[in-house]
Amino acid sequence: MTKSIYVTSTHKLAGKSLAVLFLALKARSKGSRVGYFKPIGIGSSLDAGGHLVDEDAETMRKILDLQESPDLICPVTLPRDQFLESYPAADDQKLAKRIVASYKKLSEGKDVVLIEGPDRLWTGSFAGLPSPNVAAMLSARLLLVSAFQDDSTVDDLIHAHDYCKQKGASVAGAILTRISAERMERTKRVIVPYLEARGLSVLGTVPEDRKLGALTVRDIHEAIDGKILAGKEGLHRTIQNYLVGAMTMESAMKYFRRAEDELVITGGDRTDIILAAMEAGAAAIVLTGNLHPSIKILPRADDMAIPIILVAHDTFTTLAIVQSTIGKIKPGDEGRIAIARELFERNTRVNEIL
Amino acid sequence: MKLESMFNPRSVALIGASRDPNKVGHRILRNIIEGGYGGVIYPINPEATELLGRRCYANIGDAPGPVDLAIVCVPARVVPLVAEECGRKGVRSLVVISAGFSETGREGTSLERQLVQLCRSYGMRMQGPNCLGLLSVHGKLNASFASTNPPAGNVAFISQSGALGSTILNWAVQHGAGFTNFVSLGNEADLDAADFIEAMAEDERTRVIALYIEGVKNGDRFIQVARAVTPSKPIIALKAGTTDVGIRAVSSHTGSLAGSDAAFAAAFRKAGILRVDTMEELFNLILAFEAQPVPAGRNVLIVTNGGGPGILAADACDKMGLELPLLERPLLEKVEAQLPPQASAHNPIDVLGDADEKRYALALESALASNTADAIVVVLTPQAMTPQDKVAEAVVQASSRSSGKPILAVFMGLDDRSAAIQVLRKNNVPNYLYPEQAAGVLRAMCNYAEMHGRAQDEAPRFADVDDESARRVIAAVRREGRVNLTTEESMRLANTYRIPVPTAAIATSREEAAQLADRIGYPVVLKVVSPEIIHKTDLGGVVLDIKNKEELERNYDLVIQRMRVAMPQATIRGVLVQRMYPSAREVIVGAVRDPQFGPLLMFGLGGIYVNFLRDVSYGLSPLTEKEAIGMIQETKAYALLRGVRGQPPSDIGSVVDVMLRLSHLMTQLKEVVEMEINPLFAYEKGCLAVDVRVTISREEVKGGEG
Repeated sequence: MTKSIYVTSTHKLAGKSLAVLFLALKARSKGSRVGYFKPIGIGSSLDAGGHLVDEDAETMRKILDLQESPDLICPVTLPRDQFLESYPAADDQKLAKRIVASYKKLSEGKDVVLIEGPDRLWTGSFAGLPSPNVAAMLSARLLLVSAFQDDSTVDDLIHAHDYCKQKGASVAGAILTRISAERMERTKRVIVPYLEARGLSVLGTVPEDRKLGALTVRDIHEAIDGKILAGKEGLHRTIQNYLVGAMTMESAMKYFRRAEDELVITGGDRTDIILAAMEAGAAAIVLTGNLHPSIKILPRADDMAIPIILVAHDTFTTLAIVQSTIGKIKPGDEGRIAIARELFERNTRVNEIL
Repeated sequence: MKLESMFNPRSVALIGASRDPNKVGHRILRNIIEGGYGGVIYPINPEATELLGRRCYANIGDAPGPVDLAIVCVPARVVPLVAEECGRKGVRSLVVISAGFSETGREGTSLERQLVQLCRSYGMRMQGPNCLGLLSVHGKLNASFASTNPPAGNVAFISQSGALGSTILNWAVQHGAGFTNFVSLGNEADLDAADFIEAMAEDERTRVIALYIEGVKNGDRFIQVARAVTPSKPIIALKAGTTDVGIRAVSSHTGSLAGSDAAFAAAFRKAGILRVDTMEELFNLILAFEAQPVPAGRNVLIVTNGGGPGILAADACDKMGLELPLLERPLLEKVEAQLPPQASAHNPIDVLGDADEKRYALALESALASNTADAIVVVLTPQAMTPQDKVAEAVVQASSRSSGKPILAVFMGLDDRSAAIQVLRKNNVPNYLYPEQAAGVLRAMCNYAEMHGRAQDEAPRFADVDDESARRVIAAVRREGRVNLTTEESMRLANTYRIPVPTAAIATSREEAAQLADRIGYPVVLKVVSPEIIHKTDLGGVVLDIKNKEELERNYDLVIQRMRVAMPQATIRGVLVQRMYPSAREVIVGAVRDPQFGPLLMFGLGGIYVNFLRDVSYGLSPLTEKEAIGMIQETKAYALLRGVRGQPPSDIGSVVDVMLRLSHLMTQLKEVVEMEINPLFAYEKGCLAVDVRVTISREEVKGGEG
């Protein structure tokens, strides 16, 4: 009998995908044949053939090296923004049938299927298919993943739990994620018992690890469409801060040293700022306005593995792009995958889930 | 002498010698030959058997005798091969003129590294690459592509710019300045400025070393080397890149980080190097130092044949901190007696417009005999009756008496080619166009004399410091992946080096805060402790002068709430409960780790206006007591610390102690990149570091003597 777990969350960036990845890899390591299913996806990018695909589902497919086709893994892909015309109410049943049929086919021969829901619990309501309904339809137990912000997170979880129960779904429990070191002790002492007293099992309290959510230089390089001039070896570095370098070299030195994991954005003509950034241990340097730097500094950047990326945009545009980019794990990102696995392994009661 | 084979080679090979007059390889060969070099010359070129009348060899291995020095000007990619051949031949020194190395980027850099490896493996020393070459004037060796041969003398010039170098050579000829050696540093891939300073220090003929630099490779070594040399031979340095704009330009030119100007100024002071700000000053000083003795004091006697220029000269000297005392009575009367009544024997001695050489001679004699004159400035204006040439000779006469008093001529408005000027030049009397230049030169000479008259003191080592605890504080911060210490951590660090900090402790609850306040004693100060919040006062995170428990409890919650509102993402570790101390004069003591010279200490007036007044002074670690006191005395804050308007003075000694301890801390704990105590309260007795901020380096740095 295939065991299925439907993982959903109350808000974006809760670490839902990480939880799914961890569970899938864990199940596999225990010898189970694992499947991954995403009933309703968001078409966030185009594939080679020009079709809308759900990027996260694609990422998962690649990391887990799944044999099924993208269409089977993600049978319904909603375009962003305007999609209602394509999904008239009359077709609700068809949609539900399509989901069930794909799931049936995908789960053949599998011991465990991880089902990933959309970021928000009620996405799909327009067609009568919010997550609890779909989970019930597929006989899956729900796992709620929620990033712990403050005590109001408890409101979100209790509400979600009630909602799921109302819709007739069975909830296995919740995993609290992204708990800061300072708040961990209280979370375990106050929050967890509070939720459990209200009937919601807390199956994990996962601490925050900045490296997971942070952007890497590679992420930024792709987002800003830049050209790597030097320091290719350092693309894996994580970025926590952005500093614009327009001041004197001495001031620059001071600020760069005080920041941690910073990306320095400056003009290619500011050799002094570029050198100060390298000396102060910046993670990477972006040069704007297509101004090439003095070639003399490139060998140093290579030696120190500090990426220097050239873009055509101006500083303002570059900053805007960078600040709206979200760091996600990509296939091949072995480092972060390992961190995520370790984190979840140590902080969840995974045996009660799988 | 160090680098003997470079400066006194018995044989020179030129690899890349060329028949083509447009090639560098041709020009250098011409220069070597026409310069009059008396040793063996081996032009090397596989496609010639004879060049400019000399037997030419296909490669250096073919040269029949040993080769001390090889000049290389073949294309960059071939240079390593050539260097290998030189190594096998047993060549001792290389001068690589060729460009195309680290100054061109990646490939050039790896080529350069290869070249240095090769040289090291054969024990060869290399100048350059990418340089103008070298001149050894006494040995008549011009191994450069600058065709000018300067006169022989006692100045060594080391230049980081080839272009400036050729300018100096031309100038030397025009002004009769004599040189021993000239070195164009190039990329400094192997030998750097410090190496050449060492070599020139050992060269008996060199009495003055002049330097043009934009940066240094190894700051510590540069200071150490220079420091050992300057007491016996002045080093005059022109550093480019002193302004922010200049620093930017230097970075582009050299591709390396140009140190801050404050650090360079402090480095030069520590090394006893005379710094000049302009090319003009550089030339002026060279002329004086090479020809005249250093004065024993700051007293100057001016002799002039024009009242107006005499006054200008007096003004200039005064501005330069020089003194103009009168001649002693007997000498004064003697001079007065022999001059017309309207002349003046007071300083400046005005011998009048109709003076002949005898009047000048009289004044000069008296100056030489006087105990009140350490240096003499002779001003001459071209009046109709003035026998310029004869006056020049009188000056030369006086100069040749070796009195130990420098004589500087200011023969104004004369044609450069005039006989008078030539006489001065030929006889080692520097002549300046304007009295201000002479005054500036004398000031530099006096500074040099004073710098090296003082005994050097050593930086103290404090035995009462707790190095281990200090390292533990830093390690704990690093484990959390932070580089900025919280206020509380910074204070603890300062305390390990016995820098006085306020009595304080962290509370994580209101009750605890109240208990701590009771123990510490009211009034107290509350400060929020958070790694992310740096400017607490601006955000309302500090409450002063809490007088009792009720105020404390109220403000405890308030101060945390304010922080939560202002910076919701910040993690609050607790609240620091600190004893409130009476206020006092505020100063800043800080240190920053300069990438070239290491810890740079700063002292200045503190308080909220410091960023605007910028009354600061700098000094490099290891800081000595004399240096620390000097730093304080340099600032305007010093006047306040000494006590003004009836207020008692502050305990400057305790401030000095803090500066020295900070210097020691920065030397021992290499991971600290910045540490600032602002404000440091300077009381009548003792001082207190009221707020401390520390930043550590990104990665762990091993080292220190701990």
